[in-house]
Amino acid sequence: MLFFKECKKILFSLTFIIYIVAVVGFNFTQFCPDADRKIEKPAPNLADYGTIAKEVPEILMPEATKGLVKEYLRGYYKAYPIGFYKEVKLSEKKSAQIAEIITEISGITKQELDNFSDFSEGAMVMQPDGNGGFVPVMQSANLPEINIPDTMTYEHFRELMRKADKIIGGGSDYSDNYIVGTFSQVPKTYEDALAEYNAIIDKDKITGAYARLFCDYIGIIVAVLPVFLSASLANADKKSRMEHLIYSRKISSSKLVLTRFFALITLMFVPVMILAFIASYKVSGLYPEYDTDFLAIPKMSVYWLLPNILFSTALGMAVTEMTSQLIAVFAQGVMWFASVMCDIELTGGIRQFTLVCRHNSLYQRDVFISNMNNFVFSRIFYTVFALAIIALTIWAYSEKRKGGLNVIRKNIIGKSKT
Amino acid sequence: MSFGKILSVNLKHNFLIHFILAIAVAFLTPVVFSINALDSRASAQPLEMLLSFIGTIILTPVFLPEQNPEIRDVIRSKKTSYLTVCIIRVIYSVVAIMLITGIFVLVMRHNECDVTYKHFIGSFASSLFMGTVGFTVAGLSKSVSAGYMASMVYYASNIGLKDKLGICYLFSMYSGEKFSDKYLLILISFIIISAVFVILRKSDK
Repeated sequence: MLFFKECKKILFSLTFIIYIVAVVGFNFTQFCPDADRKIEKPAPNLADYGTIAKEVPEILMPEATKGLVKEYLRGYYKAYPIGFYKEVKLSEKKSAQIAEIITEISGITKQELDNFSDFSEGAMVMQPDGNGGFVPVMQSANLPEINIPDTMTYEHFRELMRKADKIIGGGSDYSDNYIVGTFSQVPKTYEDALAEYNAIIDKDKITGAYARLFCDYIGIIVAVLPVFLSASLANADKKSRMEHLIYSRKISSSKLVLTRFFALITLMFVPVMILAFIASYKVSGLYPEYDTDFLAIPKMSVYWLLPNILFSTALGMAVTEMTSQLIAVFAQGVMWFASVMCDIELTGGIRQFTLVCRHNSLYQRDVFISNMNNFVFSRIFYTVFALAIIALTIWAYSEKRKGGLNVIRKNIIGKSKT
Repeated sequence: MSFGKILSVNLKHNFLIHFILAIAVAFLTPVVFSINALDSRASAQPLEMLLSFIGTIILTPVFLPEQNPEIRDVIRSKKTSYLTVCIIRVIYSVVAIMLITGIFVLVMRHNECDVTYKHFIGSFASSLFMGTVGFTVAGLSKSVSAGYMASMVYYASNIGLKDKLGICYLFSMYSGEKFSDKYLLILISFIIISAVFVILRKSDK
């Protein structure tokens, strides 16, 4: 049967062995040390329980105004208009409209803003933590003094923020979706911490918290490595000069491409599922006194990691068939790097089109839940996108069999040898 | 075939696309990371975290043209040794890494970043070692895909394992580890590259 033949071919390839080593290695060096730690019930009267996003106008209003002033002075605005990160530069006219909003809130005029010469942006910078790792540290910005008069109501303020968001083009920090999470972080109380602990015990059944951490670590690696396997498999016929022989066979292009696709997905996802069950067994053993959900980690792996494997595999197959293996790897590598490195938030930074979802904590359940809509959207998006790419691959393969795509391919990329 | 002829043929047919992709990475770097008015430590971030990929892109495909066994057999029948051609490819690839790194550091200097020769050496060391990992796996396994993949796995392991990798830690300059590790990394890279050629020569006999 073709499916098993393809599986055998993948199973004994070097790229698959490297994949296994990488996934297992990541699990044991990253997830396992964290999985050995138990989630402790918070003790009362601690000095710090972390922070939580709560809608507190007294905090939100000055912080959001500072954010708007900072972005006005630096000349661009951070936004996710269609889910992807964008630095929005406004026209003179729109920039003046933002200045009007700032003036209305704080009384600072456009002229005062434009003449402010001591501006420094401040930024989240990664500082070494002394153990060879990095911790994000916020360097504060140097801005004009901002005073919001008592006459400014919270409702009107939010209206002005919506207006600013609209001028920027939507998806900015001032939108209803992001304003509270970005500008209204308050210290957690003991009660908040206890409520979070209870939610982990009752709603996550404990293993749910570990499932997020497991997927966070394994997601880094499975979001990029499948492209190497799929590109390599797609290139194998070319390399062994068998492509023309296969083109002449009776088998349909859809059957061949889909068989290869599902063989790759099966073989790459099985090790992940095995590790997920091992993790479940290990975590359940840590909490014999609680009723844990044994299937939480495997189920989360299906929702969280499978779309990444699907997408990376599909992209590798499609780009290799249409152009070259090198370009497939490069394209996926760029997307992976942009997702892993450009999003400094290791927890709670999930947007609609986030490729590599991160939640590097056993805690902060509320942050993950607040991003649930984005998480679900991104997983469905990449799954559907992967299936669309596979449909495109079938078409491309079919065209190549007829000889059509080879002409286009040669004209576009010439003599690419990969 | 003369050295000059080998060089020009390889540069034209086997190197150009990889060089263009490496240049693309260099152009992408300022898009991802700021390269304006950075202090010494912050300047190491774009150099070690993104520009280092040029090593993978340039050095890994040294054995690519002969990945097809039939072509390899034809090449071996020629008067000029196959490994000599590969050594020439390694030399110009290393020069290209130095060139791109050097120009990038100069651009950073022009943009008022606090960069010195150490940034050049540190960045070159990281790029070279990333490339060495890919080169080694590609050379020994005769699969360039495996080479690229090994290099990517090595990069990802730097995110997770951090300084547990010792002198092989790619981001040591950015994390403030001792700089002399970078010289060692260059030395190790050249030792590994030489070892690969020795192994290939023995296996060829």
